[in-house]
Amino acid sequence: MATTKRNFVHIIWDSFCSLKLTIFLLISLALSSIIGTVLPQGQLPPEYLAQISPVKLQIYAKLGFFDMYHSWWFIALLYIFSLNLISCSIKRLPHVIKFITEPTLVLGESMRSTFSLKKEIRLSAPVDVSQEKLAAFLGKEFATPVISEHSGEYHLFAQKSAWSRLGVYVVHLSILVIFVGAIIGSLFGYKGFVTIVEGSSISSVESRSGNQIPLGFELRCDQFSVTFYNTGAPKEFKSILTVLENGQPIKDYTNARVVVNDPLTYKGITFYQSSYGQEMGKMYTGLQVAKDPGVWVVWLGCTMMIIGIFVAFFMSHKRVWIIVSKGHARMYANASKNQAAFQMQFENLSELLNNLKI
Amino acid sequence: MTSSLLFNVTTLAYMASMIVFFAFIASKNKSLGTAGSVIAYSGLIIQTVAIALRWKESYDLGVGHAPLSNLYESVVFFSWTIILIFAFIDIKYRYRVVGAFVVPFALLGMAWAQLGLNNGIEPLVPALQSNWLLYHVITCFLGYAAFAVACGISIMYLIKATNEEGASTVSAGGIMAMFPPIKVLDDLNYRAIMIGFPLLTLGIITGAAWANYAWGTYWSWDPKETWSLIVWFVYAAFLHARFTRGWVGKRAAWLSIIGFAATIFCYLGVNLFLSGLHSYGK
Repeated sequence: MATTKRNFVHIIWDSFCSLKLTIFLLISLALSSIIGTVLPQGQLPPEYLAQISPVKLQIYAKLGFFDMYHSWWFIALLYIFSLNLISCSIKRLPHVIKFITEPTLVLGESMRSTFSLKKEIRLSAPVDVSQEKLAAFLGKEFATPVISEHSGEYHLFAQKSAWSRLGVYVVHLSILVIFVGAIIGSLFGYKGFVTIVEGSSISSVESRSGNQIPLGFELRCDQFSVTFYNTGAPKEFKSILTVLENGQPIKDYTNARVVVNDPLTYKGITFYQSSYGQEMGKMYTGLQVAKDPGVWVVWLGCTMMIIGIFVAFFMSHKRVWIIVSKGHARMYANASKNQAAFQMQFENLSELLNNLKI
Repeated sequence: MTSSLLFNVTTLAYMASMIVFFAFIASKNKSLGTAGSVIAYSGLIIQTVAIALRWKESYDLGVGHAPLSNLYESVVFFSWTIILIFAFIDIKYRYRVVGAFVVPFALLGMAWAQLGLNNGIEPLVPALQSNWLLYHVITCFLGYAAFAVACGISIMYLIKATNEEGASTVSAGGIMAMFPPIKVLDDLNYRAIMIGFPLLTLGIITGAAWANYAWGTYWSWDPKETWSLIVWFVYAAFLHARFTRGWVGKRAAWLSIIGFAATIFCYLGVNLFLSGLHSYGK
């Protein structure tokens, strides 16, 4: 009984750790995401009925297709994706860390045959003298080696950018960081909209869910203007805004110019030029309002992702061993990625070794 | 406008390059392969000058902006990036025959731009008046171009792999002998995607940063955003597939082709068939 239970847990764990699940999830996310791009999101039922039958409307509504990216099943997919990411990393990370911190210092006979990059030179000097010279050579041309003595031979081991093996885990972590940022934003932030008639001020905005949210200060629209190019295309939408607290204008936030692509931020709340119109002979400006305390977490995640991808794709863990025995030394090397580029470096190293004359 | 004349010359150069590459495949004459590359490079240089000139011309018209603002300009830039990435891979790996499968994409773009699209220089609408435009468009299109090259290489892979399966005795000296070995093609495909994926990631992130700066939301599931994410998912699947048995080779090549199809839909299909925030292509 206990073993079946353990097997079951094992099977679940293994399937969460599998790369096949990752590929399945990535393809499922890609395919299901298409739905929301074909079906307009967040419209009202009558608008949908103009295009689809009532039966379809009911089925689609049940499946959450009209707000697909927030539907339970899409969110569930994202959670499973996160779990897959976490369990894959938990399973593999300890091995990788061990690989980095406890490298193979002594190269056994059986391992030596697996290397495609190898080089042998003759030595005339005694073993311990050669060993010192070769260690100095490796330190100068590649990286400072760790020296171990093993059954009458000296094993010199040197490595470069071992930590580059962690790049892929930084990418995995970055995705989780971005998710955390998004969750913080949705819990503690809001998106809203407000219109302000020229010369008047507001102290609250309407959120997307329809609630009135007090700002804690007042925002006045001093002026709104539109300019056009000769072709008739719009050139600039401009609002002149002033922030007021207790009726007093705030210095540096008085007559602030807000145009598209140049918003105004005050106390963590940002106002974006979004629309405009006319009401009873007076112009009004429409402003998009956003407060998102999670956004910096998202940017942190994005930065980690870029760095992680760069490290994972373009840096490799390079290792060189030199085994010094009586009369000869053998050099072996490999790289975790881009073997071809490392081969050139190895050939260069081999030539320098040849010219050493020990 | 001088730039538009130079764009026509560019189109002809890419056409000539493609024809010479086809002749190279048919004749197996090595100097034709070199000629194909040289013509493509000349086209690239002429196109670079033309793009710079168009940039300057926009300033002469008093609406100065980088030539990346409408469908015509983006298609021209896409062709330019395809040849740029091709040049990079051609110089680094020297498999000339790849040109026959990649240059046609650039030619297709240029021919469409020159014959079918409005090439007028227009002033920037407020939404595009930002430095982010430059970073966002350049990173996205370099990524797209790398995927185009990967797609061309994947098509070669499938042709070669199918051919090798069909013929039990490898016919030495046939056209197939000109193709790099399938292992090399598989590797080149991977390398092209290794160039494209970081660039696409940067493109999506710069887009998100710009959206956040301009609208206050870094992600709004707009069709363009969503499709770029779909493309990202497909190539992420490709990258993971390489570490999974049963997914290398043909399936990876198909993933690369599907990825590029999704890329093209993200680039053009979204603007032509779906509505959303990126409506410059209408």
